Amino acid sequence: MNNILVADNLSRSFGRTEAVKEASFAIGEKRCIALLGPNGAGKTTTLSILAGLLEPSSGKLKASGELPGDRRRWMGFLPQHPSFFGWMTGRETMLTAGRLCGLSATEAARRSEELLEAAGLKDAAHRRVAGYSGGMKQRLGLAQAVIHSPRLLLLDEPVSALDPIGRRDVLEMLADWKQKMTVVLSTHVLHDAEQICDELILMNKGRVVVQDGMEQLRRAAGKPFLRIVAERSENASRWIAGLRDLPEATSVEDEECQCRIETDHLDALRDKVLRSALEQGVKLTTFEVGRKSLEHWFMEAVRS
Amino acid sequence: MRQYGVLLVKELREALRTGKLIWLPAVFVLLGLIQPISAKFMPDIIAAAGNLPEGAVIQIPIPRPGEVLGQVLGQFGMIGMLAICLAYMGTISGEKRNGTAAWILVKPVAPLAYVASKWTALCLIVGFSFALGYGAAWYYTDLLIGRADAAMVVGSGFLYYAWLVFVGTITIAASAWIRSPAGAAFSAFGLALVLQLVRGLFENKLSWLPSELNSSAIVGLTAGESSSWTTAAFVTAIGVLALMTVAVKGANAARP
Repeated sequence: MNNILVADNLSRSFGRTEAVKEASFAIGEKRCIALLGPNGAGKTTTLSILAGLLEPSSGKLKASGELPGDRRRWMGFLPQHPSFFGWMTGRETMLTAGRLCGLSATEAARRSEELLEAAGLKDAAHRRVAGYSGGMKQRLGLAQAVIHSPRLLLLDEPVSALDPIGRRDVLEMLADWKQKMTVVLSTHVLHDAEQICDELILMNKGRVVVQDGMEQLRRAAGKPFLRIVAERSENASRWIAGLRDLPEATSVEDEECQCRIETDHLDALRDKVLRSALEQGVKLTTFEVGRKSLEHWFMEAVRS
Repeated sequence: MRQYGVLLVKELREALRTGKLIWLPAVFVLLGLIQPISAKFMPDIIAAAGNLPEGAVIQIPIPRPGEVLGQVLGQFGMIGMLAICLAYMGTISGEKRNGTAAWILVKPVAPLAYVASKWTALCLIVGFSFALGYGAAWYYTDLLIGRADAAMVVGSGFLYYAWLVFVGTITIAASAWIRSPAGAAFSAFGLALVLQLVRGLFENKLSWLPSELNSSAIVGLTAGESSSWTTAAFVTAIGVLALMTVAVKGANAARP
């Protein structure tokens, strides 16, 4: 896979506080990457460094060789609290953004109309931005960030401040755009990251804890499992030993009269186990279905 | 270069929409009108104010046209300069604080283009305001008092305009570094006043200060002959360049 941007040991301190410590990660082409972490993990600082708004105190950023040296030419950025000139209309904001990014007047006008339409702001395009709602500003922010069709789109907390409808709108726009460009978004909500991203960079206290694909993480975080405890009897021990042979069970740990079975087919396994327990007259005392979710894993990783 | 043009259009449009392009000229026109009118009608005004014994004779010589225009520039020197400082005190710091400076600078825009567009807009807007105010003063002086030496009026006007632009440039540079708009306005206005004061105190030694442009313009109008201002103009030009460098550094250094 091609990396369009590689961060090598990035650090940034403000006075004595180190906001980012030796962060290394890679941003692959056409990926949707979530920068996940609790508040104060250094997400915004990292994104600001990527966007070129901050210089790292140490460490290097390496861009893919085929791209122009000035990152800002092929990058779009939306800060956490996007701010616009309140006296400009939505359309003027788009046009100004397009022209500043180096588009010609006609090209900027064409892209503006296209994106205003996509952002659902066509009817409000002639109104001043000062009168826009938070959701509209966020959508305008997204639209102006991609006006020059960037290769890399950096979004700082794009959905955190939005109501459920605004959140859905933004996620839909992103789902469309991630086909065309690399998207890096920061969030402290795992659920948002899970919804659209296919890769995760977990940050905590300024450090990158892990970077991996969403699927791999989900798998590594743990399969669903059954934990069964039965009343002590010969019959029960025999029954539990027999659970090993169930085709759905992927791994079984058993002691005398209790066991823990991991599985990929939870429902089928649960059915079978309960049925056979009834048939054999095993007296169950505990029957628990558990799943170590990404949420769990996230909490653990952040607390450690 | 294209970015510079786009930003300049943005600055001018902003000045129009936020009313700066209306109140700044209005201040200058008002200041420009007061002087010739009050010079002409001062005796009448005093007489109408009453409280004078019967038969009192008021003799206030009506000043020469050049003197009146010189006084107009004196008026501009306090309130007009203050208006410019107030109009531009937050031009960079305000955009930095509310994040719009970042909005511009994450795009492929050179900080120099950003600052230069502000400076050009300042030159145009201050030029427009000053020309209107000074023009109004000249017209009314012509109407009420008499004809002034046109070459002298225009020459002094240019000198004074250069001084106003210099003060505006100080304000821009200050607003790039000082977070509080009031702080920026105060430092720029204060520096301009100090320059004028020092120039007045050490007339012979410090005639190369930019404030020489200001006094040379006024002296030229009142006395009819201007002192040499070429060194001062040179120093002012260098000062503007230096201040612009400072402003670019400021706009660049403290990105949010």
